Amino acid sequence: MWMLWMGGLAAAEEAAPPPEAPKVEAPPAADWIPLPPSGVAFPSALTPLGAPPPAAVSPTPAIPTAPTPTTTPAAPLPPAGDLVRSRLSLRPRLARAGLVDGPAGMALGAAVGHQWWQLSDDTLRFAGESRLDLLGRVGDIAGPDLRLTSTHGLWLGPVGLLAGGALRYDALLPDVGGGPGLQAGLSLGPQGRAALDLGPLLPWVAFTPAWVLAGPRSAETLEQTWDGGLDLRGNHVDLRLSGAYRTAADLALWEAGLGLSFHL
Amino acid sequence: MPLLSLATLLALPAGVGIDEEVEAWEPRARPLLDGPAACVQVQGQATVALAVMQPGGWRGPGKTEHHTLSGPFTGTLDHGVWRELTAALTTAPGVSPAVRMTDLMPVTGRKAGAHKKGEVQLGLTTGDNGESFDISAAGAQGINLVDGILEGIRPDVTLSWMEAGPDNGVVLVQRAPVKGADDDQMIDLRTTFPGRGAPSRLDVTLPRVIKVGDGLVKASIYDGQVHVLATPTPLGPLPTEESASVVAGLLGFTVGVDQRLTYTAYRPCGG
Repeated sequence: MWMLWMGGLAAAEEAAPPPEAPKVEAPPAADWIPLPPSGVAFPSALTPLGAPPPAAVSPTPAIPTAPTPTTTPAAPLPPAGDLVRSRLSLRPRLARAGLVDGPAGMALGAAVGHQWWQLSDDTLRFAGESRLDLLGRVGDIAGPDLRLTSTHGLWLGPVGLLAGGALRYDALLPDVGGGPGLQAGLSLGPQGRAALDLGPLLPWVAFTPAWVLAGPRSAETLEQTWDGGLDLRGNHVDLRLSGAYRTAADLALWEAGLGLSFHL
Repeated sequence: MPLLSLATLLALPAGVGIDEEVEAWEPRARPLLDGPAACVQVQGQATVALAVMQPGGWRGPGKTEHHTLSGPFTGTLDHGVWRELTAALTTAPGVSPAVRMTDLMPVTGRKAGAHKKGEVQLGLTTGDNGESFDISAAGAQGINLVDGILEGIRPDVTLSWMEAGPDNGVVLVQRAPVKGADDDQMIDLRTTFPGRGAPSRLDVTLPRVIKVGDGLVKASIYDGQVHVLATPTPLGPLPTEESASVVAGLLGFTVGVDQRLTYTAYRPCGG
């Protein structure tokens, strides 16, 4: 019934802006018997979302009203800020990747993510995200790219600072000639992320040093990955541009990605 | 009365019940849901608050956008059935996106809408003045909102008892477990009879979280609640204030709705 009720409220039909409210025909005021205003403030399901519940409406005194009666005090409202929400996501991934001064190709796949955030209007808010990227490469390069990244932290106003770790198994091998490429390897390291929420724009950077744990790839040097991007936010769709520069096994690699995110 | 489960019995607050015939008070609570046993025209003001949640994580702290629509309504409540109900709710002038709403689902009374059950239409128009949504909808036909919720829950067990109320009155408490709720949480219906007279207030509280759906796609219902405040009239108890609010999450999108109706005046039909 709740879903039906909300579905009804969400039902919409096209209208030419600006909307014009239909006329509500009210009989002559003299015929009406006024009801006393309650003045009560009911609790609301929206209160945990940071919204004050709509106040009881004080109608225009077109008709005389009786004195306000004594009303039962409203039940205590649940405090905002003590709730955490989360959601799962599944997104396609599309990027172009390659070796610096070497062959390049497309990286195709999907990302499964889990986001959580604190429901609060406070300046300090906690949030985090974990994501599993599953990519395959086509074109002049080959090899898998599997990443599990999980970082968590806080948003201090518009500034987000998050830290966690990244586990990655990948290889980037030239399909035809072009040297040995990046041999397969399993690497693990911490990751730090910073983002700046500017409203329609959101630039972000991430740094991941990693050590090779297994695989034929050389483990002599520390791998370093710099990620960065810019989100261009629209009313119902975000355009996400991202790039990465990585050094591993005496090689330099790059990646450029494009993504879309839809929202209400 | 169905069999009582152990969880339900454990949920009964100790020492709050009073010696009253519950069966005698249950039918007396119905006027808050049905309205008076007469035909009455009402008018008032309605406010609908919408909250659209944007998720947080790597790309933001998460935020909630709030929109409020308000406007007058008028209707005819004939022995518990809304024969006519007209509303004209709009966002405040200059607010974008402009939203209008022409239909309501009152807590009191049964809605006899012309729409099919579950019908949903979506539309969006972009014009010179920005985006414009037009909301026009009806709830289920001929069913009361609270009755519909209980119909959806289909509780196996219902427990009722009486508590002391204001002005030497009583409070009828009806409690039932909800499938899909965490920790065997219950739905509570509390009807207040001040001075043991006509009912003046109904508070329906659902569990904090209810999961709906058996497959991969599940909806979550958060903090659902219904409240009605009534005043006695020569025709019977009439609502003066009512609200219904809920937050629902589905496929990663979360939307909250709070509908409030303030009844300002009434008159008998044909008056």
